[in-house]
Amino acid sequence: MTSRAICSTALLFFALTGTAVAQQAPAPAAPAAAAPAMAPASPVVLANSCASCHGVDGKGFAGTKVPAINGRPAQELSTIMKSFKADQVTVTIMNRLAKGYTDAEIDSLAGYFAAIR
Amino acid sequence: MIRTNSRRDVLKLAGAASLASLMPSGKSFAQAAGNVVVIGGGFGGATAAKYLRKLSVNVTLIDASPNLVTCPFSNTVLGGFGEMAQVTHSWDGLRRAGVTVVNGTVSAIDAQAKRVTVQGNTTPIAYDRLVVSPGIDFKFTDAGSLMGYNEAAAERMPHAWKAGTQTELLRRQLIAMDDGGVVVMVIPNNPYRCPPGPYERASLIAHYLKTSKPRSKIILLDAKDTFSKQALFQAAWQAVYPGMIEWVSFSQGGNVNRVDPATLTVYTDFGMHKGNVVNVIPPQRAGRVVDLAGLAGTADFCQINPQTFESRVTPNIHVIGDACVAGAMPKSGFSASNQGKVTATAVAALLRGQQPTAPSMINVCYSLINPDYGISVSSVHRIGDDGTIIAVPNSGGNSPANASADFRKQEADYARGWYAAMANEIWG
Repeated sequence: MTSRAICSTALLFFALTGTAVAQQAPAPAAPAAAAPAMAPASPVVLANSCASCHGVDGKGFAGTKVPAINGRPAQELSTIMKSFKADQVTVTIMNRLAKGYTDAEIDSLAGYFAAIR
Repeated sequence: MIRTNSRRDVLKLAGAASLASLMPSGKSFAQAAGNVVVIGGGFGGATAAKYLRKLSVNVTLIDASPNLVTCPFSNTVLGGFGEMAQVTHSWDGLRRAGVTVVNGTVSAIDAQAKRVTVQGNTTPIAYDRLVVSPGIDFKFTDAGSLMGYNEAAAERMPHAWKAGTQTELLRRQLIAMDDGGVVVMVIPNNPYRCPPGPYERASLIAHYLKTSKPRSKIILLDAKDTFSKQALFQAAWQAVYPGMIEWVSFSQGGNVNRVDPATLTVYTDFGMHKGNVVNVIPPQRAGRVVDLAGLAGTADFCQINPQTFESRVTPNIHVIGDACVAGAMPKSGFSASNQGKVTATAVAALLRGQQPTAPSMINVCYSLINPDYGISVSSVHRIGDDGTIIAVPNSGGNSPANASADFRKQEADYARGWYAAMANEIWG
């Protein structure tokens, strides 16, 4: 649980998702006129939305009732989200929000938050 | 192109006498991919600035106010159970994150030379990309749809739709009102900032009146026939504030076209209403700073590329939050903040010559009926096949009707958590 571990986890994810800080000179830009197909939303991009309520890095925010979602096993997070999505477990807003994500996106979000200690 | 331009601008910047003051102290310039200037430190701009710093981009944020007072949760002040301090945020958190915060009013945007001038400063600030997040301004015009309402009128009939001294003024007027008084609220047609906001306000003013002045009434004069979370609000009003709140729709003659601040009277198409306190939420447009670069054209709000929020009018300028047209996303602080995250990610990619990824965004808006009764609306947003921002079908939506008191209490608690976590992420 050291801050170094958090940093390296974050870096790993940035590296995996391609949004890492470029350490070298950037590649030349693609021609502006082209409209290439978008890369799918990366785990980081998906997860950024969650942080608005669940706190920075999903770590919650002291004194509130919105739970932290980081550092729990990916399988557990994934199962919970999918049960919200299917209304097998009824809560408040998460039943509605979970339906906005594919199962694959839920797995990728679960992996993302599981890795943040 | 991008690479060449940013190098040129870095060189230009290096020649400026104020270089040292623009560089975040203690941060390595080597990692920087370019300079981004953000105009406006609200939900959109401050989030964009924070997330750009996470991606090691140099950011200068310009805001005219000494601190930021949020509209979200400002209705709790009117309800008598929230404090202004709880909705007021300093720029210290952004500074700690390495954002250079400039307190001042933007007087010019030179989109050709890519630089912004702050009133009173002789040296303009150069940017590779500019993020404009000015929120809303009011359409004050004597010939407009709300004749007689202007800045002077707002001192008698506060809008309190930009939080701060206006919120305090409206609160003082409510405190000064006698029991049995009438509060008139004038509510605009779409689009405007925070669709459920007027109805949360009515609820929390009712909470205060029920507690302190129970013989008083609230009349809502609306320029529309339907509103956000309508069934939930109306059921709650009936249950919690029976007989206290009267909603007059457009069809029922709710459309106000003229106000007289001297007599606290408002005129509809069919008659007049006099209030002891009159809260006028006027028609809105993008914050006027967008005019400095013609970003709205002749419209009220700015068209953007939904993948990057880059202006459809002017390259290298991104417009986010209430000021932009974001398809199915409502004009809310939460939307603005999610747009700030997507924009920061896209801007950092573009500065590095990379393709931005597909955006994914959420909107969550809680409204309080009273401190123990919360309701919500939510949506997940992507780019649809038609290239616009859509809400993912069969997801999101409102709190259920006929939920238990326990459910409403839980949502009220989550509303407080939602605000606290969001404010901490953005300004903390």
